[in-house]
Amino acid sequence: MGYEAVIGLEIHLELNCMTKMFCNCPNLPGDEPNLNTCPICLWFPGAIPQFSHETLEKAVITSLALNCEIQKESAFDQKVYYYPDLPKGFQLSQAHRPLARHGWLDIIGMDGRTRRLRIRHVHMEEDVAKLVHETEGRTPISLVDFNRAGVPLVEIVTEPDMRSPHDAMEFIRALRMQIRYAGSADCSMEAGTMRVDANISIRPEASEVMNTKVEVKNMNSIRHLGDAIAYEMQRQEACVRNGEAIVLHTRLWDPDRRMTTPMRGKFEGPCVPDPSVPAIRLSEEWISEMKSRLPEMPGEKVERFINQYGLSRDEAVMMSSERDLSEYFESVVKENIAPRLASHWVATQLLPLIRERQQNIAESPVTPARLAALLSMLAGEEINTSSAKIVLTQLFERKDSPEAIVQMSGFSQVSDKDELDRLVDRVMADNPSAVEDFRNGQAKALGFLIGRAMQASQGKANPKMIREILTKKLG
Amino acid sequence: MELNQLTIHELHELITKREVSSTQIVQSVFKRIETVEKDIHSYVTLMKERAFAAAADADKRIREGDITPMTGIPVALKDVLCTKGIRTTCGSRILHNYIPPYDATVVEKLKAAGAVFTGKVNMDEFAMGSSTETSCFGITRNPWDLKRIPGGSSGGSAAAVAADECIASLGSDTGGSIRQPAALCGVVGMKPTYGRVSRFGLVAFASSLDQIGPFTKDVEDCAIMMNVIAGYDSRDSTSVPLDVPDYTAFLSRGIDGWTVGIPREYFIEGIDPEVMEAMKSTIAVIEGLGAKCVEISLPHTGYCLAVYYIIAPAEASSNLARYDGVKYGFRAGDGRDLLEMYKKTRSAGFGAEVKRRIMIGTYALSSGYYDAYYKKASQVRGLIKGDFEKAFTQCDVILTPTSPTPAFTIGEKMDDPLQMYLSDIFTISANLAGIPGISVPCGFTRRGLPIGAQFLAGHFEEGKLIQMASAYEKNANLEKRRPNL
Repeated sequence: MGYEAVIGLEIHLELNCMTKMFCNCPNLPGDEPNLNTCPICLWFPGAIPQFSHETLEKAVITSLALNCEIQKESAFDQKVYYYPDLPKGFQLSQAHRPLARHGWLDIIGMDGRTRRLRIRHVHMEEDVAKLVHETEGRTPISLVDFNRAGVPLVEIVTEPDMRSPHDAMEFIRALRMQIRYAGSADCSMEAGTMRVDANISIRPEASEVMNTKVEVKNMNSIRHLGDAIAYEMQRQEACVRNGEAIVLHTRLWDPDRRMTTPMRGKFEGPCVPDPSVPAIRLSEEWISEMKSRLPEMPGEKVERFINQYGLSRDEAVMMSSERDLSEYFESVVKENIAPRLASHWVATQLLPLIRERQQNIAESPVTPARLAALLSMLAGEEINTSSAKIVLTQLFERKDSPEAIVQMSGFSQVSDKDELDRLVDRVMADNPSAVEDFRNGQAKALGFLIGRAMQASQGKANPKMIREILTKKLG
Repeated sequence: MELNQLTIHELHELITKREVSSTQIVQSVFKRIETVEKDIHSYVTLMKERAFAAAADADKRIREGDITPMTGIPVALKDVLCTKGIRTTCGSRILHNYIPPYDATVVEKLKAAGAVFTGKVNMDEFAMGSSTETSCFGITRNPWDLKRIPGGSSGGSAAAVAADECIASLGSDTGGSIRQPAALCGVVGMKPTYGRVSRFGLVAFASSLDQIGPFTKDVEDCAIMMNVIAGYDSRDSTSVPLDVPDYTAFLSRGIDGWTVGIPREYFIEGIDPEVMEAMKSTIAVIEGLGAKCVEISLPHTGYCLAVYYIIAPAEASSNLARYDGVKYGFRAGDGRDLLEMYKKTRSAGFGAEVKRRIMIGTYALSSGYYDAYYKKASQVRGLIKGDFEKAFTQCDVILTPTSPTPAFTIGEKMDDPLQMYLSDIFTISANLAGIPGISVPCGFTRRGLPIGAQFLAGHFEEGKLIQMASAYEKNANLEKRRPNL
């Protein structure tokens, strides 16, 4: 009998707000330890939280990007637990009344079909402090860095709709794309601004039962998420086959040993509605205003790129995969460059060079205007493709315009009829056997001769004209 | 009369006429403290040096003509209000050495108005109690009878005003902690509407019930103090952005034509006969001023105590979770691991009453009990609020005794928490409903113990309370007495 997994995810996103959630300290958790703290985020006695409007806006935009229904009324609760990362012994969260419910995202399943995965709710909560354990020296000590305490988070809780590591990984990719478009969070698992916990149980295939789940934490890439789920499915299956019961608990993914290990439980206490942050009441008008702030999302953009620019679906998906990329692409097209030429050059030439240099397309020295100038010379046959590729790499190093680089490096394509006539005559004289072969019906000899001509011109000859002249002279 | 025996407005008049200086007033107050403090023990921390420096500063401002009604007036602060650079203990071992890095909003406001702080006054640990017997710094005694308690939890604030160890003070009221000790010590005490005064810098006990308010020698002083401390504060989202009227404008308006509600549920068995008698004379005085006293009903009164003892401990259990020995305050240093450190710190750092309430609260919130206790209590709280809303369509203010009995003797109720809790039976409802209340002296028992009358009004109707209490105070013809120390 085969088993299938039932997987639900809990995703914590750090919102990219200017300040913390309940005070005016800068939201810069990476600064020198305990620099960004005040009596409120250290929760000294007498401190009262001041809920930041920016957090609310970005949390609502995040929820809208996940197709959620924003709740007209939501509220904070105090989740009590004792741990030194929590300066007041409770975390402000929305356990009873979350900000948004009933969202969804579509993914392509392993069978190639679109599947809709449901999101149960999205709620706001504050991040906790970071613990640094120093084990060297005689007495091991634990240090607390409160820079991260009070950083605004949303937690996204899915329904248990995923059945495989593939589903979970695709869901996270889709979620990351939506949120990055919305611009409310950075969503980097590697940098810790997106933390994904997976709740996993297994059951016999085609069964509807919900068995005891195990929570797995500490995956810091999408790949690790897939690996951890795959490992946990195997582990649970082995347990069931050995007749062992699955116990509700939390496990940590160990990327070095490629396995999950049980984690010691924290003491979890009660949960009480927080009296100091007033309930959040949102009007229809305000929610509509937030909706209008959402940019064109990837789904709509793909369709528009196909219809407006005549891109293929694959090209459109590629050009829409990130908001910055799509904006770059459209800026190039606006300079009167054929959309498919722009898409082709961005995807196959520009992006690899940007990745090599670990740059960001929005801040690349090759601005859309500079790439467009280059492509326009290429389209006008002022330079050929191989020269264009060389010029492109030089655009990363030099501030000069593409036109200037072409001029200075002598990349200008030779399209002078007389000059090319002389070149072709010389190539034909130097390669009599190839000329012979062609006249004997070997068509591929033409390519050889064109190659020789290009080589002789150091790549500057207009290949189209060379072909025309050669064909005429050989015929 | 010594300067320390005068009221804020009397002293203000002398200051304005340049007849006395703030320094002289402060001298008089500290002389009194030196004489009686050993008997009363109102103070946890004296701020003598700072007080004289502040008085000198006030005198300079007075010479420059920069005078507010509070300039140069000595005020004591309950040790639950954060004071920058001055130890703030909440009467607890767990905060015995805690020095806040900031001032509470009310402290800032009083400072800006020119008030001079004499020190931090004693209280029940974390404001949980009705007798000021649970402070880790020892008990405070009632100036009217040293064998008796001053009430609580703001017992130090009440006793210091009654014993003339300050001119006025601030306390906090979560279930009666201003009004009950005011009644038992024979002074005026007001709990404002929830949201009228900023709680920023008030160490939280139960955040949906806590409110800061003044203790004064008369109603006029109460209005003056309220003028300073009331108002919206962006640092407390539960404070309400409403204009604050000039409360002194309500002082001599009279109550002719008013209707005063007498809730039948508050005149129950167990009220001391002398308190009952005092209430009857109070009603007579009020009717003599042209007001009509009518019987009203607050039908859910019987549930107040039960609801309160679920909601307040529930909120306290999370508010007090931060005292874990990690960041400040007391830490039991010999734990083997984190959990043991927590346990030892909290076991040794909190007193019995605080632990009792943390346990009640944690239990009421624990999974499986949340709906039966906390949720139901919150629903009943809504009904109690509704009772008052309905009542205030029938009357201007409500009159009740502040406390069912006068001050009881030290130790009398320490072993019986339920008896102790009953001491707040008439004050708790105002906190649950969020409405303002004032306690004014309304007579003495044959043993010479003060009795207090409580007036309640609708949300943000502190002006009505001052109008009522002032009219009563002026016409009650109570015997002028001072405690014999």
